[in-house]
Amino acid sequence: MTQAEATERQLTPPVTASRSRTQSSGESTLVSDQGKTTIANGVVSKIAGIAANEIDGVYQLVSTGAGQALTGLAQRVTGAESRDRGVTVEVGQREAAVDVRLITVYGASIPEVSQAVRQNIISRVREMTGLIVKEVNIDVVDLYFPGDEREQPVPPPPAAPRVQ
Amino acid sequence: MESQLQEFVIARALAHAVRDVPGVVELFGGRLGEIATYGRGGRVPGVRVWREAGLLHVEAHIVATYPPEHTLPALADSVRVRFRQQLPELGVADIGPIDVIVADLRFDDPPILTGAA
Repeated sequence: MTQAEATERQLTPPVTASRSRTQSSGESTLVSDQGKTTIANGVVSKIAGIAANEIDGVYQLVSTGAGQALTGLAQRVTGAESRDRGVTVEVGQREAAVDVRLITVYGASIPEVSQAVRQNIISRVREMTGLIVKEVNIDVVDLYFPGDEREQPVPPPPAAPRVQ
Repeated sequence: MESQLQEFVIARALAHAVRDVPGVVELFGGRLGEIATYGRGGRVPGVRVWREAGLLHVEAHIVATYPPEHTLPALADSVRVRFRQQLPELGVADIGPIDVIVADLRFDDPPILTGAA
């Protein structure tokens, strides 16, 4: 599977959840006669999350669904790491499929940012785990406007005392 | 019949040996501590050792450093090499497959929190 094909897949609607997109769902197994090597899903999603965050124009990755929203909340409360936030993966014997949800910076080209995210995820996962990333589905869920932080309401100055 | 070392004792030795492998942070005992070899005097988290069809099977669950020095499969091979070095020293000759599970990654730097927290 080439990167071009992987890109191509993005144009097709996401495969329904009931059908496995990789050879076997669960975790990756790289088999040799010496024993099997398994890469856990969480490992692949962290690598993919870091790869996506490295791209200029990506503001942040955002949680997918209620489950991760709750996890995200728990992570914020406990201060646990959130490197795999916004990433869902399906890992098979030799292949992986990755879904990311992200917010891009307003002004950046969404197709170009998506393409860069896709390529970085494909190459990082490949380099580090040996898995071939069959597809990277990118869901741009919102835009971030760089001026927004300044526009956020400033707490009003303490009111002058009403009594002297 | 030669004397056979208990699986638990083998697991303890392997858990100790895996610490020499650069890139392995620690063993991963599972979210509920369910991955372990049990024996008299305790348990070894993160390593399962059992005999099957006359061969010694080993399963090691590891937490790796990020970024890996080479690749995660290469790291898994280093664990295998280390174990295959260690096992004959323990008098184990009937070595079967050594399965390595990369269960998690460990980062030295604090997590990237881009954008609003």
